[in-house]
Amino acid sequence: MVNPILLIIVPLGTAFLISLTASFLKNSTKYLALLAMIANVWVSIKLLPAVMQHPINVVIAGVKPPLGINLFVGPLGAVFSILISAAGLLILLYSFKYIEGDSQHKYYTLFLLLITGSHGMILTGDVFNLFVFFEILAISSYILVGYEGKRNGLEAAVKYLILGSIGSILILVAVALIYQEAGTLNMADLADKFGMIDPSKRLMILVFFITGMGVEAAVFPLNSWLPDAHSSAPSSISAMLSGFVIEVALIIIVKFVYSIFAMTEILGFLSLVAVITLLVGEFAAYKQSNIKRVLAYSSIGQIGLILFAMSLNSTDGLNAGLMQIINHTASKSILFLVAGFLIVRTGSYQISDYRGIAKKMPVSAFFFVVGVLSLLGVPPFFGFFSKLSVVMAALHTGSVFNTVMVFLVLLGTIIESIYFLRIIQIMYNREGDVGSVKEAPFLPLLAIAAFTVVILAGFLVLPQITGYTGSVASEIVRKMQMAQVF
Amino acid sequence: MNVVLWIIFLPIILFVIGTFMLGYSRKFIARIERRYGPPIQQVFYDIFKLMNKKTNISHGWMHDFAILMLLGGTLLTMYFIPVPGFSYFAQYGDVLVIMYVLLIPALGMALGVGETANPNGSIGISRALMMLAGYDIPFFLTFIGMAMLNNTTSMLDLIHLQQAGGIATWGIITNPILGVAALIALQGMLGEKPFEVMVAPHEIATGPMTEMGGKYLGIMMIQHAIGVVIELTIYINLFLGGAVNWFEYIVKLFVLFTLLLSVNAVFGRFRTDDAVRFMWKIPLPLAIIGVLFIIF
Amino acid sequence: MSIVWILLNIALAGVVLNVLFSKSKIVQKYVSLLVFAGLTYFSFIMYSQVGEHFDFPLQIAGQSIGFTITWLNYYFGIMITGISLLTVIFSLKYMEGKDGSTNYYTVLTLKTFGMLGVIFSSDLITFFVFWEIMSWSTFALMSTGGKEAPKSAFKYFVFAITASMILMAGVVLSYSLFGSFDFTVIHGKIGTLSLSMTGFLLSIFIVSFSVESAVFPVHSWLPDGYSNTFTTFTAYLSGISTRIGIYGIILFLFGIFGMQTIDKLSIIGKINFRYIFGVFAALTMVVPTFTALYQHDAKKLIAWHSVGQGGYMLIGLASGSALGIAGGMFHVLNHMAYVVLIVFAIASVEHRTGTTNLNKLGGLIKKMPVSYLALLFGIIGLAGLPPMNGFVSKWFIYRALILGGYPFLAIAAVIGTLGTILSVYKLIHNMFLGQLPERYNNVKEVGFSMQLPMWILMIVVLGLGIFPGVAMGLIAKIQISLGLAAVPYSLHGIQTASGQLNMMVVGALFMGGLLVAWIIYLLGSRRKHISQYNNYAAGNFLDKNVAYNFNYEFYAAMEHVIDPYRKKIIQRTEQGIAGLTDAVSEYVRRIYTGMINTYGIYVITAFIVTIIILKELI
Repeated sequence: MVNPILLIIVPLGTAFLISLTASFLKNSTKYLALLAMIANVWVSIKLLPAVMQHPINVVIAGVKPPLGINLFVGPLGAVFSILISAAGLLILLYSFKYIEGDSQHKYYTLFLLLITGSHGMILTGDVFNLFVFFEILAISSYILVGYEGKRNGLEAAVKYLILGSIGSILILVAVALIYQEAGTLNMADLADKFGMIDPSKRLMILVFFITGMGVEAAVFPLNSWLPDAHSSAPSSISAMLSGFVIEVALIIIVKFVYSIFAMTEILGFLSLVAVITLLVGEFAAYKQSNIKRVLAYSSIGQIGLILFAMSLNSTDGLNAGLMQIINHTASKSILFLVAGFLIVRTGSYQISDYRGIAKKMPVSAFFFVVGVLSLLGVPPFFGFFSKLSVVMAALHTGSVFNTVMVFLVLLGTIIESIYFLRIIQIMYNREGDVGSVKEAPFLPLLAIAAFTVVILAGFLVLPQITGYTGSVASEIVRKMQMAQVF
Repeated sequence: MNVVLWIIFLPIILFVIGTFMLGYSRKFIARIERRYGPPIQQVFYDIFKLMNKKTNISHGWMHDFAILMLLGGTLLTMYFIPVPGFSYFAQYGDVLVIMYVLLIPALGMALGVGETANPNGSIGISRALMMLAGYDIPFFLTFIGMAMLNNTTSMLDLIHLQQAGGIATWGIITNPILGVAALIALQGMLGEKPFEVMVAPHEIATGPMTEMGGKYLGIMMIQHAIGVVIELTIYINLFLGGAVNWFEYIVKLFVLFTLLLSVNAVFGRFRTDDAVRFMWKIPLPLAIIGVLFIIF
Repeated sequence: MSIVWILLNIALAGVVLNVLFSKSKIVQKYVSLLVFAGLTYFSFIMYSQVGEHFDFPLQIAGQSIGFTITWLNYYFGIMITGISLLTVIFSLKYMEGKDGSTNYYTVLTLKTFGMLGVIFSSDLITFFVFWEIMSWSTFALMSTGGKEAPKSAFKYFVFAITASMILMAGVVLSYSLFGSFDFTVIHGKIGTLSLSMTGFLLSIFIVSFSVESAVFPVHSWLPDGYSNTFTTFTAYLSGISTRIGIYGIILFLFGIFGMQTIDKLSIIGKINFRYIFGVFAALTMVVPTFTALYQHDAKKLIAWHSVGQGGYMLIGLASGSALGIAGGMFHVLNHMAYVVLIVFAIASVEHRTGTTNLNKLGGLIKKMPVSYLALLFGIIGLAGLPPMNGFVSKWFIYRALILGGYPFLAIAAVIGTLGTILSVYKLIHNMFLGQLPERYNNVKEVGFSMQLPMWILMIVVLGLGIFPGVAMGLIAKIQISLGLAAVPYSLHGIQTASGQLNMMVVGALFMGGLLVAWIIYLLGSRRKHISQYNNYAAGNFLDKNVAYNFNYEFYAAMEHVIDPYRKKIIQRTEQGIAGLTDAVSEYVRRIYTGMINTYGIYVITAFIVTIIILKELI
């Protein structure tokens, strides 16, 4: 059996190795990163069947929890590991052609740190370690947002840094309060003891944690950094940030609310926030003229949809939310990655400058359309099934509140389809001419194609996927218990 | 055998009645205007003369065919209308059929006139069609009311119901509002003043007839004679209890026609939009009120 | 192997082949011809499998999904494939050398695939999936063609996606209410619902289908959408595409909810669900028909009528009597035959003259007699005059409305018909009659491959008019299979206790009348053909430089009468919604000021608000 700690160790170690060898390997360091990511994918795929049988608990340095620190890999960890490492690998392949310049090793170091942080947040079984990995993730993403060194990138990075730091502080306070009140930092132990804490303290812990994590999870109104950061980061980084980083933060919130704090009574509030987030995201995207801002705002909308599904307080809802996460990771990555080369080739962020670009970049345009269709939930793409599951889960609860929310969600989808279709129409405009523009290189297209395959073939393996997401959902919905873990 | 004889002689009989009625109308109008007027058989002479013209100009095949459609369609309508002693075909089609086959000659004429490539003709058709929209809506509504009242759309049944109950069950007595509305619409349907916008000799050189001459005009006049009788008969059958015998039928025809002619004689011509507006402002609300009476 | 699979696989293969051969138009043409010939053949022989059911090898939420063949979808199936085949035959020549025709056959095949899937589906999921495929391919279809096409296609899309979302809500709501997607299962359980829930669910479905079938007031996407694309697509779209919405309405009204359930949905007395539906249908008949009067583009004029004619079908269904429902269903077929015929005639004219502008054409009867005849047959059908097919179905509908006690719906139908007569005459007059402009002196009739579909449709239009029994047999089977009363039909019409219709008698008498008229005509001396310039002109001289024609503002007086009543409420409402969306978007966008200090305030506010709210919850 493989040890899940490899998922964290390998990228972290490779990141150091890259910095060490950068002086003589120069840009070839990217192949090290590639090896690390391949290893990661391999490990996470190996993990999955084993974890489905029984969760794996890895104790670090031999000290048993609650005193020591541990990794806890349930279905949630395994599924997200695959998501992170697979998306990471494809985006890395894309970056080979996309990232240019001399100091590429910095990019790959930070890239791997971002992967490390994401894996760590998902896998750790310890609240303080969660904070540490959160910091790794956050700091590497601050730098990556400003990687290109352009003015708006740096400005966005600074904004992100400030808001992210506020989030970190809030989480840190929550962690401190947890330790003070419960006397433990182990998640399973905390789940056992949390109910015994004084209600007002519980409230404070909850609020600090949710708002802190909410900043990274892009929940309205804590998400104000997102449009700037996602739109001015390099497109590969935008794809990562949109594709799994915010989802990781979101799933942490959901996991804590369900299985650790076990405070499902606040879910109604969360679903309201979710729908507001969705509508704000979609309406804000509606009038944008900058392609990456459109995609960034659309991510806010999608996060709202995912959070809505996950705050339905049912296994179906969680299941649907997870499917929507998979769909969003694949389709939003496609969109950001295609947008990356649209921007590189035309030199413009403005959608109106892509008039008729489909003639010159037919493959990219096709992928873009597929990504959009899946994001909108058009059958037979994967997004249709995830969106259908969301709506089904919501209406199945039978409450009037959720029914109204569903109609608002569908309104959001209408708005979303309108602005995406506008982009597609511009791209496929027959009269338009973008001059001598070349198609994107092969390797990035291959990476995008792999995401497309997920979307297109998703419905063929739907029973398998719902099988996995179903067990993740039942893991989340069950309260974590010390006894179960060990 | 009886049916075959009727099929052969009905058009001839109605044609004769129709020409006399047209002749009568010219005489009647002339007398009101203190003229002497042509003899009552003048329309016969006219038709005979036109059919014998040596030059018959045509603008194309549709122009020729339109004339056939005009007369053919009118004959078709005629057979569906029950007249005293003959209602064989009426069972195969109801008032709805009659109302729509009545439009076939109009359409035929419209197409033929179109091909003559004369704007006066086209204007005439345009006016005729607008008038159609004007009078047909109230007329239809009155018919719908009568059909609802008697729960049948068959003209034959409507006549039988009226005749069975005597004069008190005549449509005009049981539903005077509908009767009046239909009467005004009928005036429009016959194209009499003040709704004579289609022909309007002083404005558009007799409109549809502009490029018609010789046998074309002759056939149009034959059609007109039969058409007038048909339209009056529809009203008689719906509102005046039909007719049991030919004497009663002809009397009713002439009385009704005289009534309409008197209106014709004292009015000028409406402008087309005013005519349509009038139709929608007087007979239509009347018909709606009448139908509301039937519902409640 | 069931025929449904064969059909769908052929259609799908057609799409794939068209994509593969997108470089070669010749191959595309003949592949499509073959594909549609195959589709037509298989759909016609499908009656042998009516009543059978076929499952997908895939399950959604533990439910098996698939297709079924009923008389209703057999009826729609043959219409779809038949009209697609004729469209393809017509397009062979029509599309030669046209710009932007690369995707022409691809989208046509895809659209047919989507429609076939929709009508044969036996459960809500399959229905919805194919519905979406159909909507998107309709969008793709509308986007091809002229310069304005993408814009109007976009408008369609906004309506269609809204309808899709509503439909999705309905699909899922049914699932959560009945625990199944299957139509028959839902039909069996429909009686268990409360009345208000039944009404809500039914309204969701009907509203969503109303968009596709362009019911007033959600019809405004249709005229532009249909007329800005290729003319052959105009035919295809108005002929059958819009009617899939009607299929949905028939299916849900009678197949799933059932007449008894619907009649329970009464508000007060006669004002029940059907009546309200009927009022919308009546508005659909009247308003678009009179809007058509104002059009001076042939395609747009017909597109408006396409909206209006939908009203007849719906009002027939709303009447609820056997006759009315039969009329509504029959009118779908009839409308398809004559509207496609009309648009083909328009397309022929466009093919030769390059325009469909009614103010620029004229006198083409001399040059294109076959197209003229096609248009003539078509407009007689459209106007609903005997002996063409449109009359028969309209007769059913009028009669059903009058005897059912709906005088005002009946008069709406009459008003619609009169408006139709007016505008179709304008259509045929401005294109084929009147003065022939000098520039069209060398115009020729279209070739055989374009004439053939027109001849076939002329036969259908006249044939169904004289022998409505051919279609009525099928419709009676549909009615019985839906649990409705069937109309007592005969080959030539219908026969009921309160009157009958015999189109054979009408046809024979008309023929006889024509014969008599012909004899009288022959009595006169021979005619002499003269030139169009040899004409009455009040003493002036005519030659080719004199425009002596009346076509511009053909119904000026009528427009004068109607104008005060045209309020353009729909247009303004739409603009209002668009403006509101823009405004909301603009406002929401400003939340993201770009200023870090406001963002800080957001976080702090959110923190405090969360505390306050959660304090109440815990």
